[in-house]
Amino acid sequence: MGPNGSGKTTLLSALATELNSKGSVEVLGRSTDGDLQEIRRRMAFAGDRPVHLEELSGIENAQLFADLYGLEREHAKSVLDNLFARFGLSKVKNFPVSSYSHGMKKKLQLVEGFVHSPELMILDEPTLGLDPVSLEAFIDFIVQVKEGCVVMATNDPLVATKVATSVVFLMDGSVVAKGSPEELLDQLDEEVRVEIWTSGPEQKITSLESGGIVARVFPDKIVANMPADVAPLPELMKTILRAGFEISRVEIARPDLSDVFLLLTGRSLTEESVAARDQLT
Amino acid sequence: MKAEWRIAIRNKRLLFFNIVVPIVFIVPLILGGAPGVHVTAILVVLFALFSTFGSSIPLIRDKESGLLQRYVMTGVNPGFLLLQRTLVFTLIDFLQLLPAQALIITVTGGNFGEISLFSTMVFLALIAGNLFGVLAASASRSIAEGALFSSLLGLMMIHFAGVFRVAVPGSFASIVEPWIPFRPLYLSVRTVVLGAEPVMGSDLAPPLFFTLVLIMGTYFRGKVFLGVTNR
Repeated sequence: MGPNGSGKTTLLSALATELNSKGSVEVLGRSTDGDLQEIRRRMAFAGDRPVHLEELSGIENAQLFADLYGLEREHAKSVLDNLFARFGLSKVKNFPVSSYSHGMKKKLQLVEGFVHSPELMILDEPTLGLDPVSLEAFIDFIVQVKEGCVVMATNDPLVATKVATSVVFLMDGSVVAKGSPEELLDQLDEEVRVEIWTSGPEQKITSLESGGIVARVFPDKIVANMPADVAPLPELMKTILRAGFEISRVEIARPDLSDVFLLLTGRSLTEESVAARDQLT
Repeated sequence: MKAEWRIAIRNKRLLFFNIVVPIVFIVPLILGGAPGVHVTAILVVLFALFSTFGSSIPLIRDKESGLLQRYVMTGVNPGFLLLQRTLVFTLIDFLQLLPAQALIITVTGGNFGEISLFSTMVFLALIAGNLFGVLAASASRSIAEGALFSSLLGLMMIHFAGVFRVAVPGSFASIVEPWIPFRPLYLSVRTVVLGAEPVMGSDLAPPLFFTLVLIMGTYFRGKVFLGVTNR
């Protein structure tokens, strides 16, 4: 997990043997200085942009990848039938991919990646664009992948908490923290996240301080972490009103991994990293 | 690759144009009383450019979209992948040009031996043309560039094959000419259209060697040709 430009895709590309760079990475017990084809046959990589032969149907695209992985036709057929059913694509498997939505293309990419039961699956933002039903199916599937390992870049705290055994926070190309979701969430003690939805004239301030609580100001809401008894909340709301905001709704939620990231780095997962900003300027 | 066949058959519009356009092009040419040398040259240009474009454009399209990258990431040998696709492109080109070949043979006449030799030379030229197309694709960063490089490379090879002029003995052109893979095609079209001497075994050996070098280069440097990964 990490904001845009933190190095997630670069790291995944290096693991996937896709990156042209100095040095080497050990993947599946093999160095990327050696036989890349052997490593690639044992893993699968699904980038953040699903690409297919649009003129062909979903099943034909998937069959093409089964052929490239060297699967026998009958075996591939049964595996693909199962995977298409799991990802809810059975009804459209004979339709041309050009008629698929972005989410369906992402799911098809996952089907193609899992067709040869890889030992390692590298996924870059696999849940972006998935509808809630498909997201649940994806989470169930990843949790059930017993025989393989999945390395995934995501900024969805829900997905990371549900599927990850280990989470790594990246910032500007460096590891900020790592651990299981539970270990990382423990760093927040008994806190809750309070989201105060606001409206009114645009404010230029980015944070508000009240009773020892620092709240971050976003375009449509103000977010603060505080003890579970929410004792500082009334005072914070007064401060918000005094600053000229109008409050429309208050939500109290259990904190997630995005709050841990904020606590450790002082930055939001939705922000661009310094490196990314530097590149842009 | 089956995918290429499927695309070639599914894309009815492209299939129609690829079959009909050469015929539409050839009919007025060979029935219009044009000088034989012109007919010969134009037919060679048609067959040669058909093949260089046939492979380069789909390859650049797949390279641009990232599809080639996905294929390579399955662990397939990039060189093998390219050669496989080149063979399929060649077969598709050959089949799409069969009606045009039949038309030429029908109008010009010729015995079974000449027809077989002509078709074989067309096939060999299409293999070379498709390999040149791969070469053009590897140097291109867009479909427009690919079209430009394919046509330039194709025309250059046609020129060096001696289609547009007779090389002065002892000149550089006369040394290069026998090695160019489009040369046997040119000689066989000359046979069919002008009744010139048929292609001999000695005419075939150097171009076949050149084609073999292209095949080996494509295979061993496939990764660089694809430009999808430098490792």
